[in-house]
Amino acid sequence: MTNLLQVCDLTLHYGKFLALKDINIHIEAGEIVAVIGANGAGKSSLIKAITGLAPPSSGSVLFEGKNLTNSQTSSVVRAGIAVVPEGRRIFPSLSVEENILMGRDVAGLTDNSGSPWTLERIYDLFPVLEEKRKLSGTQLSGGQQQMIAISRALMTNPRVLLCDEISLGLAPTIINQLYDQLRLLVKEGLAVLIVEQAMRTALSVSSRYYCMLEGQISLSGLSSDADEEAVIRAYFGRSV
Amino acid sequence: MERNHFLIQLFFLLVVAGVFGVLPLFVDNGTMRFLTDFFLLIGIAQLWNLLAGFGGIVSIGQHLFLGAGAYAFFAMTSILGIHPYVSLPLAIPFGAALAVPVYAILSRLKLAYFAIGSWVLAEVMLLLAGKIPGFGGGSGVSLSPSIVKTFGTSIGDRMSNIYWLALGITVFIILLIIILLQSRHGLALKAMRDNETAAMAVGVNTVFVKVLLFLISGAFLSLLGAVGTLLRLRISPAASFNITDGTIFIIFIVVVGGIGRVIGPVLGAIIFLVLRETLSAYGPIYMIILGGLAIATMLIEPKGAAGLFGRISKKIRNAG
Repeated sequence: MTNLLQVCDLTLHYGKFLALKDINIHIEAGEIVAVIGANGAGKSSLIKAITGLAPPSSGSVLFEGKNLTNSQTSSVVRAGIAVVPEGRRIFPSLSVEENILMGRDVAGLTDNSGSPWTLERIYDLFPVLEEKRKLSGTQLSGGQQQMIAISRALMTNPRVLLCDEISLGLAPTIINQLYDQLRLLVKEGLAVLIVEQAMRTALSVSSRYYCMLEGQISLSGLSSDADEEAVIRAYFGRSV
Repeated sequence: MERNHFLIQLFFLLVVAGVFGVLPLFVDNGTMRFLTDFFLLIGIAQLWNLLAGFGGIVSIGQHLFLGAGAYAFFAMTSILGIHPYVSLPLAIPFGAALAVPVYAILSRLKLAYFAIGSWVLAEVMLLLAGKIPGFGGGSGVSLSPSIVKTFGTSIGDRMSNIYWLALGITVFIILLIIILLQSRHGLALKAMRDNETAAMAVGVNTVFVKVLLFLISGAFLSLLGAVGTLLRLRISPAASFNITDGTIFIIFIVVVGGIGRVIGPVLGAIIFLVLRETLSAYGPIYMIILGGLAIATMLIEPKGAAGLFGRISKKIRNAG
């Protein structure tokens, strides 16, 4: 059986520094998988390696059986893997609506290409964005900016959504709202990979998890079965 | 960009073009020459702004394409015997084709190295231009009278025709840029202007966009270089590949007018010409003022005159 997204023996160097070593992860349609780890554990490097922003030194990235290793980010996005980047990356000179539409444009889609993702559907999902659609993207609150970033990624019509630290700097109620929406999308068959420092949040929303430590997977399993002590050891490399 | 905004821009562009279009019927040759210069400056500055203001490509060697366009025009008309009105549009594919190897070399360099590399390439081309047989060596060569006369037998006719050519080409370049900004690549371009790394992270094909911009810029600079030759009536390495006129003043125009905005180069060209007309008699003081103004703009209002006008009009609107 082929996995939707499979990362095999992925190793990544920045110059001589080893950022990722022999990473093996996979994700299927309709699940939320969490990658947790402390600052510097290699989580963002993993996203960069999958999306082609940092070319891996060895290993492979397979998407629907197709080899995407060393592809350009734009091709990865067009293939069906979208990123909600760390820090949201809203473009200040574009309005809220333009920021969202950019997702459709970069994926080479148009109004008529039959993508299930339209502005109307986005505004159903996040009504507040419709109210503020004419404002500059950066005039919105952190949580709303995160909604723009998610919407922009959805407009590329992805099969897999990679979310880099979406809870960072947001209030717990906002985080819950965002994850509730992601859960709805997953029910419709989307695969979501969340990268989080916030261990408990990540475990509570995901069905499976991978814990990273110093560029390697230190522990993995079902989130519901996760033993907190074992996860903490895998997270920090020692008991706390 | 919203559709209405696009239509307003289009309307203004066509009205302004129309007004300037009928001017040759009323003004003297000196004024026409001055305005032709103005159009050429705007055209060249628009293309530099397209690269630096949107694509983040900072080249200080774009005069390479102006010079190459001028030499190509001379070669086509005087050596190959192609009709001047056919040679002019042929300067476009020539410039685009030249942009391919130039970009292939420069794209391996980053930021400051790219800028310096572009300058060095342009200087190499200048030196080469002086060595190719048939182009008059270091002192250059004049266009033959028969070629010049294709554009009009009297000075007045010729000046009007060159005026209309420069106006038409510059309007076309501005039109091309606003259509590009309105197109599917428009949002990607503005996103790249905001933050190139972020644009790449969300899937903008930054490599494709940069190549596209460099080709457009090279193609039309080559055409503008050919039209500039019609004003000067001769080609020579020093004048055709002139870094001061073709790049340094252009950077001034874009920076002072407002980088990353289509109106910027227009405002910048007006400011530049006003300063040139009033101060150029003072020699070095003129250059010092130009340089000082450019640095002051970067420090105080990096968005230039366009940014300043935007701020003032916002204040007026808020007050009203």
